[in-house]
Amino acid sequence: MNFKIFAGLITGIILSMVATGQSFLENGQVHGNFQYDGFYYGEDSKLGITDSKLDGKYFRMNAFGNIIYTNGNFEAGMRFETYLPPLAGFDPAYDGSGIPYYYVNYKWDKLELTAGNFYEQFGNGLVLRAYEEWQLGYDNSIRGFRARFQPFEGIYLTGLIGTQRYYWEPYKDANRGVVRGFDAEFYLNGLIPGMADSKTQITLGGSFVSKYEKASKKTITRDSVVDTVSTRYVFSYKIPENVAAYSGRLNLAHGGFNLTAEYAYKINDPSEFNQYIYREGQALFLSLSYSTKGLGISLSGKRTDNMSYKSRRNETGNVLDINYLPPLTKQHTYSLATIYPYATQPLGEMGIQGQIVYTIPRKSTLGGKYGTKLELNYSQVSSIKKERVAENIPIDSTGTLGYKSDFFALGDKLYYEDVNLVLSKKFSRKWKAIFSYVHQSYNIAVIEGHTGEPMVHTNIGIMDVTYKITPTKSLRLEAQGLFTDQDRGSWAMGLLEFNIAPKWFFTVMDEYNYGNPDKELQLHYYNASIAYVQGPTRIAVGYGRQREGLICVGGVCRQVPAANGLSISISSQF
Amino acid sequence: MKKTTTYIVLALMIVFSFIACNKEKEPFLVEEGTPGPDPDTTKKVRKILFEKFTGHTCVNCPGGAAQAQDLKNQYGEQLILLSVHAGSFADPASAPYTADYRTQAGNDLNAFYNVQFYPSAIINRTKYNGMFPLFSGFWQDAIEALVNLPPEAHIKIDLDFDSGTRKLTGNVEVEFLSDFSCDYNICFYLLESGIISAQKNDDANIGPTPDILDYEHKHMLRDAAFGAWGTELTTGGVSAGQTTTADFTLNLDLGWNENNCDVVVFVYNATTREIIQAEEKSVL
Repeated sequence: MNFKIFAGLITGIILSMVATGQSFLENGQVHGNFQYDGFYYGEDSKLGITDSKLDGKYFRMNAFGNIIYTNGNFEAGMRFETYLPPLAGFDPAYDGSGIPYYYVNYKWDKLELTAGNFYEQFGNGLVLRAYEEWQLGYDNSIRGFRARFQPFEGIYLTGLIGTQRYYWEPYKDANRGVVRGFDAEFYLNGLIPGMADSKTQITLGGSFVSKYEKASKKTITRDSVVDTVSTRYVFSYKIPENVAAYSGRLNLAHGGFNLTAEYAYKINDPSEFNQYIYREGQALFLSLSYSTKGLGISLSGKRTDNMSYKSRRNETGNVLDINYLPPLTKQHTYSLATIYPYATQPLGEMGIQGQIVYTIPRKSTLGGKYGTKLELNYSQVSSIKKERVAENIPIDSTGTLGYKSDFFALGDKLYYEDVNLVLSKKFSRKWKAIFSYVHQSYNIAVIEGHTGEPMVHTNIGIMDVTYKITPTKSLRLEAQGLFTDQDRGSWAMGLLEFNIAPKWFFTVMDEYNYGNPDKELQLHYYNASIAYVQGPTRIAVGYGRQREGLICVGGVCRQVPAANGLSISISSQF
Repeated sequence: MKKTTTYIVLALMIVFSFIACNKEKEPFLVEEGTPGPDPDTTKKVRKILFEKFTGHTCVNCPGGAAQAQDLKNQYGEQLILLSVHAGSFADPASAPYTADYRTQAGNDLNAFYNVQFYPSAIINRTKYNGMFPLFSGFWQDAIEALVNLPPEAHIKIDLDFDSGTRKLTGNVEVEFLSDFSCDYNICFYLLESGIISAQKNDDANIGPTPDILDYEHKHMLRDAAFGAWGTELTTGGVSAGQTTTADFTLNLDLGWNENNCDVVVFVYNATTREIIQAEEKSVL
């Protein structure tokens, strides 16, 4: 369905409703939101940004606007996006403007239908998750048709069919796969009258997803040596056009306890991402948590094995993902702790995470007048153990099963380890502070593809102090240090922010890579910015340098190049 | 009525997720026989230029080169490989990556096509799936989309190499096989193979990781007569059967082994920059 057909459909619906006497416009509500991010790039010889690298594209911008119309049970919306050209680090394929997202939605009692684009997630997303993350330039929305139905209390059914967004490229001539999915969720306390008042809440769910993608010719040549005579043969791959995945899940809550478990399985899905191996995919996700007043404990674990699932088999970038593999590592917010973020490895990883959050009560010896919050978090991700399928076939050899792997066998490669402790304390009405310590081990060879480079070990100390000058004015100071002997060496960071609540924010900051082994690259990444907030509208202007690195959200990452220049950002909603 | 609605909706949902999957059984590779004999070189067929962008510190590039060679094995004379060393992975670095294989023509192509990932390849300078530089997963599909189209031109190359002055002169005859109303340009590139030097690698099936110290670089772009965009061949249109000639000279550096050098000539549409025909010939 192209946008012209969509617009015609909407007009038709409106006219027919007006004609039938419904007060369609009278009771309607319109809301939406906008965001504009622009950057004027300047030359910076120390960062290696030259005029020829900028290629005349000094100014770049990304922007979107969502408009949603609702009237009773009816809803229609669309999103306009423009990238003229896209900000550095975003895929150049976004260059252009258009309406990639539009839909109509209607609810009748227990049935809800959506035509057009939609986002969706089944369970934890192990077999299907369509979502959008503006910061990453990630959008795998589905365009098609979706039905949600609740035939009885406690039963939730969802069925969908569609194709996923691929930049601006329209779906035609089977240029990518068609995604079909069905999910059923049973809330037993709602379904079984005897359990309605039970303190134990149980939800069971199951999903089935299948993609259809036309097979194109894929061949390989191999030499065969018999009696010292070498003969070259051409082989063609058997390509499955329909690839299915399914999962089952459980959620159990009792008092302060909560248990979530999901297992997913995918049939053979040879693709460019897994070098065309035919092994099945599996994923297991477990999470147990307990919370009570002042205390929260959680423990999670997961295993993924060959679970990249895309609606185009020769795609290797962060696009057209049908599923999502939730990360089990803490997403840090302080800048130096974000230099080495973990990126999910869909081809195989095993991870655990544990977290304890404890608030020492106020007016106790350690808690002081206002109480003290302590947060301890630990996570570790490693490879899975892989063994040859046959003696003479190397691991991951194309056109074979790839490898064998026992489900609970841990590999010998550490991908990531993070232990961090955060202490938050309010000392008086005017002073409060957050102190953090982070230790990370980061396998830069696997996560960033820097083969041969050693594991990066970091020790990071962070201090964040806020002083309230008056009820509306405050000063915030951040001091951070990252200490490492690997990669780009150690960093120091300082930030000073003056706030005039609730409207004005003035910030100056500097990140200094003083430990870089290359003296020429021992650079300051300074930045000054002003932000103004008026109700839901925020305008921010900044000037300075931006260091290169990875930006990760939920284990999905984007490489950001170094930059120097003027940034402007405007966002609002209504 | 309510029950009927329930059944209809349930049926609809099942249709949405129509259960279908193809579980393949071993062997996963089906033998198609041995590659055919080398095509008759006098036969007029379309030849595809495969420009791969690479660099010696790019760990995935040996895998890309192996894949390109695999495609060459399959398509034979109809595929002409060219390796452009450009971008940050081609920058000289600390030993053993001190070599500089970049060329002005390669840098110009890298910048013009905004190459941002390595290895990537541009097939006949024609967009596939809306893109010029392609991930390796799209290479074969992009070649398949072009390789069986009837040829639009035929190129004959005559070369003369003076080993004393190391001057290479060439005379090229282009025969157009259809009527065209647009303008065409022609390019002359010099390639060298058999260059042994270090290359980063992360594929243990190809060689040692992380460094292959004696990696053989093949089809490396060394020079381009008239630069990356060549020179004008025809203006104002041509008719089928029309033949045009062009000459060029190139000087081979002392360090380049003429025994391993090839010349690639191609004709492209001056407006769209799409290549309509390419040809390759050894210097010696």
